[in-house]
Amino acid sequence: MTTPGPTAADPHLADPSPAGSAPAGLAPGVRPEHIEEWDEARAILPIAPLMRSLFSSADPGDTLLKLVVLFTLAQTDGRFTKERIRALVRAIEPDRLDALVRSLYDGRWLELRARDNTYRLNPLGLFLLATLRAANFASQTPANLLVRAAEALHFGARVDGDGRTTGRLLGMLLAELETQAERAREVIASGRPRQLLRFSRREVRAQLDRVTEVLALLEQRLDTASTHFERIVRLHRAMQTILRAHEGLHRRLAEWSLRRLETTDAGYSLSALCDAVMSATDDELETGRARAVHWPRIAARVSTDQILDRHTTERRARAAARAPFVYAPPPEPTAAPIDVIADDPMSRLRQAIADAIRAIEPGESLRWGTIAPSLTDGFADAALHVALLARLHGQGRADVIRLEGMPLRIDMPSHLADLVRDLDGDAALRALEHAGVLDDLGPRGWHARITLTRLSDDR
Amino acid sequence: MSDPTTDRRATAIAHHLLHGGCLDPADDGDRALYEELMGNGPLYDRVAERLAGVGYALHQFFGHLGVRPERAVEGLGGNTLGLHAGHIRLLVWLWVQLVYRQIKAAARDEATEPLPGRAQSLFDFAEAPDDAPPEIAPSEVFAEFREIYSDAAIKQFLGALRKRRFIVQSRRSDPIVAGPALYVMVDPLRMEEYVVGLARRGTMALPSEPSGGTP
Repeated sequence: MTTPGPTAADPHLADPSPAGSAPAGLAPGVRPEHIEEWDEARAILPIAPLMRSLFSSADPGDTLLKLVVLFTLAQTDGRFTKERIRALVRAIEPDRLDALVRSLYDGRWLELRARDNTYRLNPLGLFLLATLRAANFASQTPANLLVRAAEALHFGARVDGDGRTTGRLLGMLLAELETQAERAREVIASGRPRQLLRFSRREVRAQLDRVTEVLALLEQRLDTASTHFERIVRLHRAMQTILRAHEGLHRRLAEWSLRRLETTDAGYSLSALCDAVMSATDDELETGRARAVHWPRIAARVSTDQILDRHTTERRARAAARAPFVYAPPPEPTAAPIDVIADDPMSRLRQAIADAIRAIEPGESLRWGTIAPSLTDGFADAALHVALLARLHGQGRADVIRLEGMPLRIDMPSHLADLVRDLDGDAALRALEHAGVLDDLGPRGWHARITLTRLSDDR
Repeated sequence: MSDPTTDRRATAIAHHLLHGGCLDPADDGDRALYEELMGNGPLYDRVAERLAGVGYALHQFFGHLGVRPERAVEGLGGNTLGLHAGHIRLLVWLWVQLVYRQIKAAARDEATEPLPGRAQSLFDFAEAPDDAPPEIAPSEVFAEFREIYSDAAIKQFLGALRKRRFIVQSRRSDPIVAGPALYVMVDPLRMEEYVVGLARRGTMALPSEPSGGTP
C-alpha cells in the first residue's frame, strides 16, 4: 500500500513524538515504542486533514491517543464499558482515557447505549478506520458503506496477508454487519412503507453477495484452526439474519402491488373520491362491500369435544330451565320387619321340620326326603340343608333337639361299607338305598336316609 | 421435503389467521407471529398453502398481515359482518382518507430516485420524514357525515368499525388511525377501481368537468 508522505506544512502531519520524548498523557514509564498501535497510528497521520472534521482537537497527540483507543476497541468484539476500556487501554492514564472517551463520544466515534451505559464503535468510524488501514482513497467508488468496507477488507487481505490485519478487518466487518442485522430486525418489526422502499432500492442482496464473495476468498486463505474462524462464523450468522429480514421485506414489497395501484389511478383527488363516496347510493355501497371487503369465515369452528361438552352441559341447563327447583322433603323410609325365615336358611329349615313333625304323633317318624322338597329343588341347596340339619343335630343333647317345644330325634344310618365293597357305582347306590342307608331325592341327588322321630313331650 | 414441526406451526398459524382475520400489531403475540412469518420464508409459504387449501389467500399490505377469501369462493356467500350501507359508506370513506392516501404517497416516493450521496448507511432510516400513518380527527368524520346520519348513528358506525379492527382509536376523542383490517380485509385494487368508478359516474352525471382530474 502506498500513501502520501507527510508534509511539514500541515501541523497534523508534524511528528508529535520526537525520538526519546513521549507525548503528554502516557502513563508513567510507558514509552511510545512500548505501545503496539503507535506506529500504525503514526502511519495514519498523512491523511489527518481528511479526518480533521471528525477530530475536534488540533493536537496531534490527542489524535494519536484517540486512534490508539479506536484501534484497540476495533480489535475487540462486543460492547465497552468505561471499565473495560480502561482495562484494554492500560497505556493511557485513566483520567486522560476518560476524557478521550468523552471526546470520541462527542465526535460520534462511539455510540452510547443508555440501557446499560456501554459504548460501541460507530459503523461509520469503523469504516474510516478500515479505510485508513487498508484502502487507497483515490480509488474508492462512492458505493455505500458496506460495499466499501467489504472492498477494504478484500484489499487488506490481498495486500497485507498477515493474520493481524485480516483479523482486524474481519472484526470491523462483523461489527458493521451486526449493526445492520439489529437494524434489520427493527425495520421488520416497525418499518414504515417508505423505509421498506428505501431498503429495497439499496439492493441489500447484491451487497451481501459482495460480502459473501470476500468471505469466501478469506476462507480459502484461512484454515479451520485459524483464530479468525469464529469471527467468520459469526459473520455468516449476521448475514443470515439480514438475509432472512431481507426476504421478508422483499416479499412485503412484492405483494403491495404499488405499481399496479398507481397505474389504475384515474387521476382523481382524494377529496373527489371522498365526495363520490358520500354521494353514492346505498345500493352502490352494498355492491362495493360485496366486491372489496371480505372477512374470513371458518366453516367448522367447533370441535367434537366441544360438541360433546356442550351437549352434556346444555342438556342439564335446559332441564334446569324447564323445571324450576322447588324444595320437597324426601320420602320417609319404609321400616318393614325383617322376615328371618325367608332370608335365613337355618330358620327355614327349622320351620319346615317343625311343620312336618307337628303333623305326626309322638313316636312316629318321617324321612328327611319328605321335608327336603319343600326347601329346595337342587342338589347344592339340598346338601346345604343337610349340613344345616347336621349342625342342628349337633346343637341337641343326647341326639334330641327341640323345635317349638317338640322333642325330636334325628337318626342316621351307620356306615355299611361291606354292602358296597364289591359293587360298581350305580349298583352300590341301589344297594345302599335297598339297605335303607340312602334315599334318591331325584334332582336333589342321593342323600343319607335321615329319620326324624317325634318324641313324646315329656322327653 | 416437508418438516413436521414447520407443518404443525403453519397449521396453527393458519387457524389463528382464519379465526382473527388479521394480525393485530398492538398485540404482542400477533406481533411476534408477524416477525416470525416475515423472517421465515418456508413457514410463510406453508401457511399460504394451508390457507389456499380452504379457499383463503394470505395477504400482506403496508406491514399488516391477514387473510381474504379467494375470488373463486367469494360468491358462495359472504360474511356481511353485520355491516349495512352506513357502515360501508364510512368504511370506504375512511379507506380513501387513511389507506389510499398512504398508498399514493408511497407510490410517489417509489417513483423518485434517491439523491446520490444521501444514504449514510444501509439501514439508516432516521431521516425519513412523514412516515407516520395518516390519521383523521373524529370531528372531521362527524362534520362530513352529519349531513346524512345522526351523531348517534355515526358513533355506532365508528364503534362497529373499531370492534372489527378496521380503525384504531385509544379513546373516542383520539384521532382515528387505520386498523389492520382496513389494510388487509379491503382489496386495494378493487376498492380503488370501485371508488374511481363512483367518481367517474358522478362526473359523467355532472355537466362540467371534474376538478380532481380526467378520468
